[in-house]
Amino acid sequence: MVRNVTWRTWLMHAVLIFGTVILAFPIYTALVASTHTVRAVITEMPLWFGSQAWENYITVLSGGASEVGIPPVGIMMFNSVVMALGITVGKLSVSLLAAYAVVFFRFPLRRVFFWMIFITLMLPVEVRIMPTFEVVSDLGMLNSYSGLILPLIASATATFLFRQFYLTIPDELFEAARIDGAGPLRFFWDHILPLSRTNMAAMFVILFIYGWNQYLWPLLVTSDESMYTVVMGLQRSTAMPDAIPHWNLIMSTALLGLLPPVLVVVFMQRLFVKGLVETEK
Amino acid sequence: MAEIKLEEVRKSYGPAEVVHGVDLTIPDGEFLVLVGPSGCGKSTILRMIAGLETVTSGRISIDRRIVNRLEPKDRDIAMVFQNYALYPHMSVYQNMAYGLKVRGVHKADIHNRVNEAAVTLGLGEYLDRKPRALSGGQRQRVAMGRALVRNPKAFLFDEPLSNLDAKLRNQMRVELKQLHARLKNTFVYVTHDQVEAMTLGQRIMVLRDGNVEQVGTPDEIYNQPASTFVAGFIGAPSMNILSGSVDGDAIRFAGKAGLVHAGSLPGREVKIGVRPEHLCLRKEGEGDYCQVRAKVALIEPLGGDTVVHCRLNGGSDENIIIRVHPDEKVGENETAILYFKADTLHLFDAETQRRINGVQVCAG
Amino acid sequence: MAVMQDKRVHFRNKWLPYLFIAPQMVVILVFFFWPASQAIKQSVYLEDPFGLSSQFVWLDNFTALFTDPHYLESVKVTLVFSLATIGLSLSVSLLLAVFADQVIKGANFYKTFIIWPYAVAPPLAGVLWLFLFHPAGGVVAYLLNHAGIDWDYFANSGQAMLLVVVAAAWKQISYNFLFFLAGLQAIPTSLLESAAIDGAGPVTRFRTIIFPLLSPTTFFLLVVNVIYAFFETFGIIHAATQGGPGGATNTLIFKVFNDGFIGLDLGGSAAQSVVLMIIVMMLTILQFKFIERRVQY
Repeated sequence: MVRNVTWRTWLMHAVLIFGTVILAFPIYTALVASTHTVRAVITEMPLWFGSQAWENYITVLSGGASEVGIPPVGIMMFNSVVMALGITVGKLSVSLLAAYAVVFFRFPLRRVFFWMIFITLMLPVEVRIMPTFEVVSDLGMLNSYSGLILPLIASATATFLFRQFYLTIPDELFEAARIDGAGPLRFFWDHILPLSRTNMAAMFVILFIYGWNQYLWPLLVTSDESMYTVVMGLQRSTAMPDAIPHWNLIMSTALLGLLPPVLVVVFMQRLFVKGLVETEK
Repeated sequence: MAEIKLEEVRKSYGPAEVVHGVDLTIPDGEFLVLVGPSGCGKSTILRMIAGLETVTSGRISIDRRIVNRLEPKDRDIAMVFQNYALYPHMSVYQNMAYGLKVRGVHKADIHNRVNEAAVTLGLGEYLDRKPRALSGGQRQRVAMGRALVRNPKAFLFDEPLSNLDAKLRNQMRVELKQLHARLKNTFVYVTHDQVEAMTLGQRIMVLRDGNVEQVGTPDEIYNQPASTFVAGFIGAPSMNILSGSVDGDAIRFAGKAGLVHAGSLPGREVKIGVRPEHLCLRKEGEGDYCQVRAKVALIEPLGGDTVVHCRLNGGSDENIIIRVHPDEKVGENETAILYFKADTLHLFDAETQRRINGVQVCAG
Repeated sequence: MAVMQDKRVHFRNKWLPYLFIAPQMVVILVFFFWPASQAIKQSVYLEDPFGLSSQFVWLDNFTALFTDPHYLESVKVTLVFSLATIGLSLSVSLLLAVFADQVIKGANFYKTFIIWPYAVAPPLAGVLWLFLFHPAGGVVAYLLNHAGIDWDYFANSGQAMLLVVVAAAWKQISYNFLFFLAGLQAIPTSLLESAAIDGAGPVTRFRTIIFPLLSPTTFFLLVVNVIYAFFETFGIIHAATQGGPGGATNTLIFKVFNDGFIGLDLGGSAAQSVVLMIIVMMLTILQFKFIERRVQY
């Protein structure tokens, strides 16, 4: 089509720019707030950066904001990294193996297992949160990394993704490898893993964001501040209607908490989009 | 190097039997071609030899050892697939080396064998490339190389040339034949292409619907087809099959034309086969010629020779195709007299469609 | 997803497949099937808050649930919240996607700047918007007050709802935008060109060609957004309004948490869990049905 209607193009650009600005606005104000003193934020409502950034970030990272309800962010960031990577690596390895069994083997109970895995697709952790909490509590896993990580591995989205992918690997490739002498373990190691690289990377991105952003679950299973994650660590600091929140510190913490997954999305955009689209198939 | 033997081999998928009891002995070093239309069971047979399909009943042995229950890797065979089945994440070198590496062959030995095969196949400069950076013909060579380096007891080919363009296919066919002449391993080759079957095979097995129609040398298959199916399948254009009726000593076909036969015929109806190249527009020297009248419907000049489509006169409305020298002058819609020698005829039982042997015929 | 497909050939090995599938089965048995069955069991028992005794009560918990005005109020709140969130986020993302699809220059640039909110955790999204709307220090609250609106979402339930809706929609725009854009880019240009030759203007083209062809994507997004609004917005509400004021933003998922962990009503909470499970299951089946159909075409 001949696109010579320039005013219309300009209008579209204007709307798009307006849209992106609105989307970014909360982040911008958060950034600005994180560079001022709390007094300045509340009384002057600044729209440009101040000079308190260093102090604010050092304060929250070192635990100096504990009295306003923010546990040491350094420790929380570490916990978040452990939880996110634990969920990501755990889910990837469990699902790569399970999908391999379901696709490349024939064995009794295969269908039963398959449908059991299938059912887990339907129920996110949020809706079975109470009983899951009790199970984890019974197993003595409250306030532990395994308690944070394992229950969130118990769904099969990744298993299904890999199963779909394995099914697209041509039969001939599998047959050629068998004639070449590869057994099940060798075939997995020499062929399946290298061929799954892109899918693993895409899944890694999605699972990392999923793991990092967990909220309700860490809220329940951690009561010890040293086990808090950064995404949940803010909850007590804003929940007081009467007190004036320490916006500078809250926003510093919030920005630190959202930075890793946002960076992942921005810099691994292609893998992120692939992962997002693939998991919905 | 090994003899491959199939005894009463059957294959069923659930209730449906697709291979109905095949017996075949492939002597050591033979180039055997399995040919037939799609769905005839030829690939299934090859895959059973490879160990990729289980054998429902019967026995397969390689080198006098029954292999029914052996994994493919323990049968010491190599296979080339139609779509090549190269490992996309491995370089050409790694693709060829893989089978040796898995078997624990020494690195230096692998290196020598892969390089040797690469030189043979003209792949020397592509060893570091990934399959996706190769042309179709080169991929085909890598697939061959992968089989070659293993020096297995037998090579199995599953329509290896059908993804190539016509020119490349002819070239690879010649190379395959030379390869076999040099290696002298047992080759089992599946194709649906009768030209490949005729040019490559020392023996050919023609299959149809899971049954063996005929096993024989290309010469036997061509000159003594065991059934109308084989007669029609091998040779291009196909053999003309005309209906004939037995009347005492005579066989009538194409309206009035007749033959005299000596010997006993199984029924009242027969099929008469005659190849297009055995029909001509005039007698050449002396001989026992039959003749039929036909109207020329269409002329296809192929350059080297000309294919003429005719319609037989005499109410039978059968089509007949002849292949003649391009200098022959014949025009569409003309009526022509077609001659053929009685000893080039093939007689088939109209009911069983099998060849009738031991019956002499002459023009009558 | 085509649910049951198979490979032509398989490995023959007796114990290896069990070894491979074991980690997955252990994890889902312990952390999925056991809790899920507990939820179903608890939903038909009445237990005292200290867990000392329990009594089988048939479906009493469910009856109690559906006659409880607080629960029915929560259902209403959830519906309002979901409709508003989905409507807002779908319409904005469709607009942005249509425009981004049509501008030739900069489409990827806009894409990058539109998709990142997806990565922000719901509670952090809640906190970011809370700040903007907060009576003490919030820029938007300040502007609203200056415009003569008496802004205080701590007291005003409509305003509290608006806050969580904006935050929830903001986060979901990225996702919807990506799928709308993909759907738009899949529409063959030749179709639009032939419509243009037939004399259809841009608005007509959108209404008669683009929108109908986009309807599978829209339907898919609708289901995904319902699931999102129902279940994944817990963090936003917990961080921004705590379900208040006076239950004005107390959605079903928030109520499960609140009744179970704060109110310690195990049977009631379990019954709520079961109801939610049934809702998600139905939505998921709807989604699978739809995707299966899409695959066939």
